[in-house]
Amino acid sequence: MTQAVDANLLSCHLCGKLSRAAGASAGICPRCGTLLEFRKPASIARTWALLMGALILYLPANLLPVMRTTYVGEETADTIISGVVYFLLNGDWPLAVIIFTASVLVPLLKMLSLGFLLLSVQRHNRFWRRGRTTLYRITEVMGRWSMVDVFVIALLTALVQAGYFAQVVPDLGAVAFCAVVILTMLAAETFDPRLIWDEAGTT
Amino acid sequence: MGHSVQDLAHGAYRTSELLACQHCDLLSLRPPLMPDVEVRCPRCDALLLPRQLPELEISFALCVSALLLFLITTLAPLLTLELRGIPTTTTLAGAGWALYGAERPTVALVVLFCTVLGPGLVLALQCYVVGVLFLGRTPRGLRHMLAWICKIAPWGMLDVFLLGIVVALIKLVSMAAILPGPGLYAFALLVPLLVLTESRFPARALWEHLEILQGTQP
Repeated sequence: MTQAVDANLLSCHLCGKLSRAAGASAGICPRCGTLLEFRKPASIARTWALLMGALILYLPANLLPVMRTTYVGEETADTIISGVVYFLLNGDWPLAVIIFTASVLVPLLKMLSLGFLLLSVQRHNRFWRRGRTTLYRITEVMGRWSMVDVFVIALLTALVQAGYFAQVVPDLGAVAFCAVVILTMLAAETFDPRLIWDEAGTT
Repeated sequence: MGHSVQDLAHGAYRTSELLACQHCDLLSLRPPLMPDVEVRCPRCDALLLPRQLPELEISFALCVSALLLFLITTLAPLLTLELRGIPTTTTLAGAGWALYGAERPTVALVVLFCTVLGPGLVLALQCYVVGVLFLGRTPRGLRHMLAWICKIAPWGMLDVFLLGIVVALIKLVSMAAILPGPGLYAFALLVPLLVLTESRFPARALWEHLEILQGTQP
């Protein structure tokens, strides 16, 4: 099996056009003008950096309140987990499962899977290449669904505006949570799955 | 097929006759015509070529209806909450804007981009590009427009926002009277329509078309 890089060919990551590399510099895609690269530049280091940032912010995202709710003069601070528990206690377990999956499980699994992909690439592991590529694709597609909690907070803030009687205000946890989602999405975009297949030889 | 690995590696083919997988870098021969089934990478199963519908008018119709529904969604009231007889109404942009009002400008910017600015810009560009081509002319700056469409589209999150509306509804329904607005119906139609629009938007074919244009008029 031949990789494009072995044939001195570069594929544009934006428009997919294949170009022959001219000399030492990779050049610019003749079709769309994007900078051509054999592999995403410093992919491993950049993905680690974004992943670490997300991991650090994952703590305040889950520990700090994401919103403060005033209801008849009484103020409560909600974290992500307390939102899940609220639905669970009210018997809305399908919703509890959705929120728990989107807000807690998906970011965590995403970070774990990116960490696993990075480590396996750095150790030049050869096992389960197709599976790891599929894992990457799932990681890339799932990430955006974690934004659901941020959108819920935005909607509640917009709708519950009755001052002393009832009011919802977003809190710092929401900022951290939003940053986690964006950072993990960027980390997935920065990771180059072709590294899984480099030095593949004959498979 | 009669080609060997050596042929692929040593320049027996022109670059236009080959495809490289974006996920594992495997080279393969591209089908001579745009296929009517999607082509997947034999090694890692990534999508190499999407299934393309050559009918530009279908894509144009989908883009225009999606843009119209999007405009209705942005302008019409989405939800109204009645607390102690005082109604509060929000629109799609109102949700993001409320975060700005609550002194969370960064989150507000992200939410507004993912739900209003990003999807709106992509739909407007798609309508323009496909519309002008449909009229048999070439849109000016096609290269930049296609590039922006490809860059911004992944950050559109209207489908995720729909799930957010469902969750918010269930949270609020026990607390107060909540009324769906016309924007909500438009939005519920828009999300499945967007899936269709995205899958039928002939990005790959347009890139090829652009290359042909570049070849004839340098």
